[in-house]
Amino acid sequence: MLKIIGALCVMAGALWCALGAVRELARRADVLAELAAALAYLEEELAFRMPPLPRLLECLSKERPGAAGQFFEAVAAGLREEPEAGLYQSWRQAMTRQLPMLRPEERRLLLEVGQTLGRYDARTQRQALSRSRERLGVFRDEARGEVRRLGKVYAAVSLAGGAAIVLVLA
Amino acid sequence: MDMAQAAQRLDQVAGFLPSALRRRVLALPEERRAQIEELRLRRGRPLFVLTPQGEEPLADTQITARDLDTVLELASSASVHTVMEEIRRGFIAIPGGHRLGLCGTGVVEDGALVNLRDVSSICLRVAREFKGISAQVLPKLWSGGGLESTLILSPPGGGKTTLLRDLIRSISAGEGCPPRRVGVADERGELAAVSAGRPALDIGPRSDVMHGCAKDVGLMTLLRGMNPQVLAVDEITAPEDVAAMAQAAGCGVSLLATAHGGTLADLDRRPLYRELMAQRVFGRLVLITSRSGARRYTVTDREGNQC
Repeated sequence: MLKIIGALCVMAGALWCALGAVRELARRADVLAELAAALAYLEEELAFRMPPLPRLLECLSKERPGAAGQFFEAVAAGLREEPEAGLYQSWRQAMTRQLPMLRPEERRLLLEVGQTLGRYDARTQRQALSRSRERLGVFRDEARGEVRRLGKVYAAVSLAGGAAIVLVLA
Repeated sequence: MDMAQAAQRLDQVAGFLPSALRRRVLALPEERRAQIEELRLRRGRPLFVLTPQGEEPLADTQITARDLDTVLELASSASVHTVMEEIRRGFIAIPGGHRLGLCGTGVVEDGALVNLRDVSSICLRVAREFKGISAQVLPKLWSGGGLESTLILSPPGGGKTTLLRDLIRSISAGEGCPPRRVGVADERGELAAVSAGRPALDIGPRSDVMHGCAKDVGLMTLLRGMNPQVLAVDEITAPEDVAAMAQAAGCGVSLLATAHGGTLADLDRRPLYRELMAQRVFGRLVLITSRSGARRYTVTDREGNQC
């Protein structure tokens, strides 16, 4: 009886590890989706109302859930506390702190758009936002594909690993 | 304006500088700070300060591209798109009624400036309040118990806006003349520096300010809604402004306005002002000249005869 309980615990542990890894992958896909939606919002606002960016960032920090909201909150706070450092510096620092799950090419993309924000006319900023939003959409789709593909692989590997441990211990 | 106030106004402007440059400016003695009319930043050059004695560099300063970007970012609250229209029209009005003019590489589309990249120079002009300077001019602007419509002329940086602001204040307060209701069309916020509905600069108790809209629109709104006895506007630059002023003059309202020009002949050379003078809108002209840092005001009638 004890052996069966032990084997079940090992299998459950292996499955839990697999789910954790899949959750991390899914989180990255969710953050990319949130960021793409936030950039779409910025693009739209810059097309019509054209408010100052600090106000837009405050809105995003309040309205967007999760890591994207925290990212925009950190950018707005950086700008508020150290206006002289500039928007790009706040953007860069907030990325490091709030978006560690992003991959280098995704970070590069966000840094590029950060360099344009607030520094040019609305049309130039919208063009940069649009380009970045589209690329983020591609990254998001790739991340979702990875979740589906690797999710199955992780589950299979972890269950097989768990079974191997159970056999060895038995 | 006393020395402390003048220095304080410069300190406001210095707030838009990067911290190293700001510290350098704020470390100047109060007497010197009070004299500074402009801060001029040119990439690769020292920071220059303009006083009535001329333009002098501040030692141990060197302006970088990053410094210029920081000034623009601070002045636009990290939102250049909100001030792009102002940049297109020549300068950004910053809180306190001060001005930021800038140069760089223009991006032009269909003949219009749509963007400015690689900023190369910035000029921060301090809005100055000299209460009482209009006293030497004001008595000469009255004739037959009424205020003559007056055009103030000087080259750029000559003190037109400062004199106009003090004229508005004096007329509105009834200082040296019967008090009048003054409507102020303050498109760029330089005359009154209205913030949250309150003028930051003293424009007198009987003044109503239309702020943030085109001068012609402001003038017409004031004329229709506020029953002004005097209408004031800074820098006539467009045919629409001239048309609005001519219309207001036809309604029996006295006008106070400013224009760029060093002499009366300059007015004749520019079609916009030629038209305005041909319509005999203004009864008085005030010419501002500067010698050894001291400003001199000459008041003439529209034919150029000294009053």
